[in-house]
Amino acid sequence: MMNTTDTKYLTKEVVLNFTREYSPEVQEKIDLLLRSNLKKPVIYIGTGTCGIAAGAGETLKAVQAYLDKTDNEAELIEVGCIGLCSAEPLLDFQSPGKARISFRNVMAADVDCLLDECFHKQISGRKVLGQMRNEDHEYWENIPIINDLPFFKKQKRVLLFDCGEVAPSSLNEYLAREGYKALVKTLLHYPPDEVCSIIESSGLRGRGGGGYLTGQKWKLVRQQGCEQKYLICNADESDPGAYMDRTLVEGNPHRLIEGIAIAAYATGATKAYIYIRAEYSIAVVRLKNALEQAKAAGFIGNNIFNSGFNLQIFLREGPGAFVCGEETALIKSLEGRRGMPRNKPPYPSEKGLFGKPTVVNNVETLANVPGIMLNGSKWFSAIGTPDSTGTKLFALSGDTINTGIIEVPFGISLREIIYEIGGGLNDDKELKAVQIGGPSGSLIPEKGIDIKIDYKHFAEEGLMMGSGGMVVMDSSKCMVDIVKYFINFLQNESCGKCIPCREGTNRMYKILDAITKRPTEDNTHESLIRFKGIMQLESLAEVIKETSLCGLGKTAPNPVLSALKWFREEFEEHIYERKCSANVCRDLKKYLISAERCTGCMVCLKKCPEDAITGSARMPHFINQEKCTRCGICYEVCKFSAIDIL
Amino acid sequence: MNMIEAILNRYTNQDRENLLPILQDVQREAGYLSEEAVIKVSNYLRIPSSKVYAVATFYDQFRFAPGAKHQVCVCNGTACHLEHSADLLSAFEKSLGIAAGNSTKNGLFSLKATQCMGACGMAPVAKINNNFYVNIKTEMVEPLIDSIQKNENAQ
Repeated sequence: MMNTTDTKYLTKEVVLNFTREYSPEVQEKIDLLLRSNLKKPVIYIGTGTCGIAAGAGETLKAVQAYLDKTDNEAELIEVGCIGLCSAEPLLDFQSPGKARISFRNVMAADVDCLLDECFHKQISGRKVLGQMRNEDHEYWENIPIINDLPFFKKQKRVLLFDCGEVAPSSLNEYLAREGYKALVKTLLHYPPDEVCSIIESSGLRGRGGGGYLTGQKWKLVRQQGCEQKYLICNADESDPGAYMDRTLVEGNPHRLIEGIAIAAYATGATKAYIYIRAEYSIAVVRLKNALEQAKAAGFIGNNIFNSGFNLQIFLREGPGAFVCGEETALIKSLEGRRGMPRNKPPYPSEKGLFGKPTVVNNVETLANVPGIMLNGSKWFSAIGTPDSTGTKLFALSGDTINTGIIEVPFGISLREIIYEIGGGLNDDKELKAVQIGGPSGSLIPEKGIDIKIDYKHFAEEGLMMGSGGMVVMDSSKCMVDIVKYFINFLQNESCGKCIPCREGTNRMYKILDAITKRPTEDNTHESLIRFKGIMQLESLAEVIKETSLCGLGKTAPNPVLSALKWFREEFEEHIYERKCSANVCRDLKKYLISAERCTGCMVCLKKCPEDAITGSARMPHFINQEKCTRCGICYEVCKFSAIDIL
Repeated sequence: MNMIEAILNRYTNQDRENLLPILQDVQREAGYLSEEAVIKVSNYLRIPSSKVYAVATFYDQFRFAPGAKHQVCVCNGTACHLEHSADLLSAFEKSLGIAAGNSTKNGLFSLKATQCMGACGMAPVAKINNNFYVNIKTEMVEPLIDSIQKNENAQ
């Protein structure tokens, strides 16, 4: 599909032209590729993983069928995700001279009707999300500008700005957007040491969670007097509820490749590995395709642009182990071993992959590099706060109205994210807590959400930035249950190498499980044991934190400790009163039929899967608590609200 | 079993770093890692077969028995958990008559809870082979399985 003549032309006229002043012919070519100047209408469909899950595959087929059966002509393009997952599947339409308009939640059945409206230029406003800002285009009437929507307004999209606009399968489109210019400029104009210094002075920190200064890390590897060095791009993003890296790769795989190439040049690595989670099938395909294109066009390979720099990039699929996000475990996995971490030091920068100096960087970190090299470190450090520069991607999920991937400058408060970008909570419910930093992150209660998001404030509060999961929970969620969920996840993912983590997380899970289970005997002795459980939970957490080998174990107790700090009364309620006031812990619920309200309609009796309800017509029914499994079906089917939950 | 040899021949370099890519290729083409495949890979890379097995069992991706025709996966990510994915899983368990992590006797269905699928905005999510079912309710499970079963019977 790639037009190699165009690629050569663009490489010569755009990539190698550092003045940013283009001749009219070149500008015309760029405009065509940027689609600011169109010959025929274009239909864009977001086919990232979240789009496909929502049904974009079917929508795509329906659009193709529509174009086949009508006389209307249009180019159909698959793009990445703009980040607003709750609006997927997204279909965008752009006709020559008019602004690009976005439609939300477009299912296959909506396609014919919407496209008819578009081609007849009579937009009814149904399913409209907004139109894109572009001063060269004529705007649609009464349609909001997307960039002004609350979800986008507070964002600062340095990395995401072209996700959903550029076709990830097209190298030429990336070149037209000054893609690979940073790489070529770096190779031809900057010695590696200077690249490290530029990145260091930009203040870019590792986005994988550690927050170490990237430039310093590169320098450490650079200083090693070893012939062979390696670079690893960590794309093994396995935190539940976090998919920032996937969005970046699916949206524009070339930016990552460019970042890797610059990082490899700066550190002196000649072989780079991308370790990407195997489940990310769409991202893997797009990345493979992009790597081939970049190789064919000479952006990776031997003697790149006559600079004398050689680089090979290998793609490796991570076969699914959470612990492989830890750098030493990841290295073991790349060597073909069980992904178990080892003691540090020596750090990978001294002894990494195959015993050689290795730099391990996260996808988001590397994706930031081309922008810094192209626009300068001052441009980057002007974004965010003096201590935490740039932007951070978060996967906003849970009970907010808008969910998806967002990119915000450091220094923004959690409140702004939840209430402005997220649009507040569904059904105006009350906010209870925010879980930030993935399963080993911390819970932040409602009163703490004015905290500014940056490394300094987070360190002061003892919070972990993590990689970017952000789960918003309303008052209907049980904190004991969520902590139990995270600890269960961590105990399953513990590699088993060190005892504190292997046994400790398992004990923590058992204690938490016991307090969410129905008591077998009703005596004070049992509550005492359960109470001892909670006492032990705290000291156990401290021991695990102190003595575990790697980051997984060291941070595993975080959810427990933060929940005990902020929601202790909820734990106590589970222990002393055997009650879950959020009504989540199923085993602690008790369903009772009110004799006054029950009309004896027999609906619940018939629906009960356990035959736990007895009674006869027009007589109040009764639930046999021994048999009841607390599935809640009777509660749902009762038309007379005669069932109470205790 | 020419398929395994064909895969091995693609890897001219017999270094251990190729172990995982080879196992992934075998699973992609054969659907699972058979005992024979493990032994052949171990001979080729000159690693004891016990070590090959040790590596393969460490990772979630590898299976050691043929997969069912319809593989039901229920997402157990954070957002799905908050939207009661545990209830969804038990609805599937009930409907299929198997516990999570198992297959039905006729080899038609398997059921498992998986890591986050990254469709958190549409929780809870389930996947049958490559088809996603989003915002799925427990009462939708029975009809869904029934319709797949009916299609199978018709064939």
